[in-house]
Amino acid sequence: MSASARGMRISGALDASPRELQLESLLGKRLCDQDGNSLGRIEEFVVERHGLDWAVVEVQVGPGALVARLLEISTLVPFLGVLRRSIARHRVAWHQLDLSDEEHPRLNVRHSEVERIAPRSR
Amino acid sequence: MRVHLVRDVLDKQLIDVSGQNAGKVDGIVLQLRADKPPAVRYIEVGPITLARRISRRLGDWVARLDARLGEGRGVPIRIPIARVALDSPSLRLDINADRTPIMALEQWLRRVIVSHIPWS
Amino acid sequence: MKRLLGIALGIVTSIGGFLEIGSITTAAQAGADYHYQLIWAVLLGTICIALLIEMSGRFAAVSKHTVADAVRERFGLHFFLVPLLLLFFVSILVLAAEIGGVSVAIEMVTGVRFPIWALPVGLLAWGLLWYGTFSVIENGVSLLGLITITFLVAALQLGPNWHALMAGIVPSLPSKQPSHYWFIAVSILGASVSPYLFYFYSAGAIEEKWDETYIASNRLVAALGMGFGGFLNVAVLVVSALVLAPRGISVDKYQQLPLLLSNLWGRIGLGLFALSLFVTCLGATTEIALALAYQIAQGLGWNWGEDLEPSGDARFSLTYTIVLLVGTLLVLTGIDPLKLTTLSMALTAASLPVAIIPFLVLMNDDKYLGEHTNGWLGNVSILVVSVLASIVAIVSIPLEIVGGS
Repeated sequence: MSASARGMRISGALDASPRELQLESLLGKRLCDQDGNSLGRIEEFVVERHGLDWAVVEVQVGPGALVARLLEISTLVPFLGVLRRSIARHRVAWHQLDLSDEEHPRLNVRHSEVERIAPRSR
Repeated sequence: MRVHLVRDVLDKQLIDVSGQNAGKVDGIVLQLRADKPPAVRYIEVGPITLARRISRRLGDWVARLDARLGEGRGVPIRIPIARVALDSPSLRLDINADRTPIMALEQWLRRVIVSHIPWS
Repeated sequence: MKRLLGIALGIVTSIGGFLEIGSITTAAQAGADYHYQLIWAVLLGTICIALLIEMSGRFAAVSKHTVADAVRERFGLHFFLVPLLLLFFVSILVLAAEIGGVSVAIEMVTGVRFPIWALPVGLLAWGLLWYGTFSVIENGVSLLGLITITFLVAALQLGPNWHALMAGIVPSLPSKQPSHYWFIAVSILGASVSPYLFYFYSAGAIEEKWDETYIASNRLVAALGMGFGGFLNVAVLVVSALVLAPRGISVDKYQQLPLLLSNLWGRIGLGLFALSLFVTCLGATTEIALALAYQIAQGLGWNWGEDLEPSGDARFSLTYTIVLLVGTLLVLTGIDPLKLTTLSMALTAASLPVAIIPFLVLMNDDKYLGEHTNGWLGNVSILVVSVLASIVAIVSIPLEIVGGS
């Protein structure tokens, strides 16, 4: 690992060899299934905390930041907020993810096996 | 307890133990583990991480500049997630940022420029 | 009792701080070229900024975040940086116009050309920020700005035709040169509705540790302070309509501006005008420099605060220092302050949606505002005005430049 990837520890961290990933570099990347179909862009990482262990249990996938922002603007005007509910978002469990290639995160299951997030009702 | 990293941690303000601003969470480092969910290991703070989010090349350039500031510099500043407490409206660090490279630029500017301006 | 005094102070400083070179120049041009026809633009701009200031204060009081801090947090780095860069560019031009305004004011009294004064003025503004506290700057300079009441006195003394004046409250199509008319209209909007103001205001609210109990008084201050400030702005327009228009003087040289008051009161009028310009532009200079430094510091999570000593927030302090330096250098180039002013006001109007839309989205987020989110009317009206202003500005700016102003 290069020096910059190792980074600088503040205190008492284990220098582990397991692979490290920058969350922000995964954000916005397209998540594709094994056939190359895109589920959408990675938007959120949901973590479950058990004591000091912060485990990423789920990744949420949606239209991506730009579209999400545009949809937010639409909520400023009455009635246009309906658009938000028509956009598909998905919940991907951690074991359904293949993060071996940071540049191309993949699903290791089929598109249809991924849980769809029910649109928010306002 | 469930936490949304992008919504609740990334880009959020950090306050250190003395109550001063300690930057924003500019990056989050995940560790992949075999047969277990990835774990959050560190948050990253500072110009190198920030620049990297804009572009890889900009990040490397900032890292080279930062390296000139002293020994052991030129790499992103990482804080173990255990030292971060979720709070509102900002996240709390249980360390004093003055003792970390987070305040390095601030301290350098204070020493080199601000202290030389009369009556500061 | 203390709260009442605070409200009174807030109102008074809002009135004194309302005018600056942008609003004075655009109102003067409007009055000179179109008589009372553009009063509606001044009123519209006033209403919009009053609404935005109220929102900004409410946002800080309830969410305990400043606007810049929240924009980064809520929208992420990239959607924070892009508006920041655009607003920075436009605001530096406005800053240069204000520094130019102070310099021109000194030129009016001394006869020495304005670029020479740029450096001393920049230094003065810097000194106020470096050695002063938030209340000294906010209150001190703005209170001095009450001198702009002279415009109201002048307007009343000149005795406008009230019937014609009232007619100007309703938007009407221009009597001549439509593209110039709309250019001035959006410039007036850009002069009143300055995005740096709501970044500045939310930071001030945090510096003064507002909480939800301040919402009502904030509303009062925004309405009355901006409202009366708007009246002063109309007064400038009226004076111009009565003094410059009959003489066929179109404001295209900054040396014509003092005529607004010198025509009425001779040398005293000149002195009053110069003093008004000096004080109001100095205030605006410090506000813009602070607002830009706030945006960067808050977006990057640094220590910030006008009440902190520079040794406690070196990065923040050096940011406003650099900002002031750039503005000062621009004035040193000798660029015509009047042209710079009108252009920067129009550019402000053109860039309004970029600043306002993220802000409006925040104002509707109950995570930040709980039950104090915006009503849909406030959203729609501000959204419509800023988008329309932007479109009109984008169309009319090239036309104005080509038409030769």
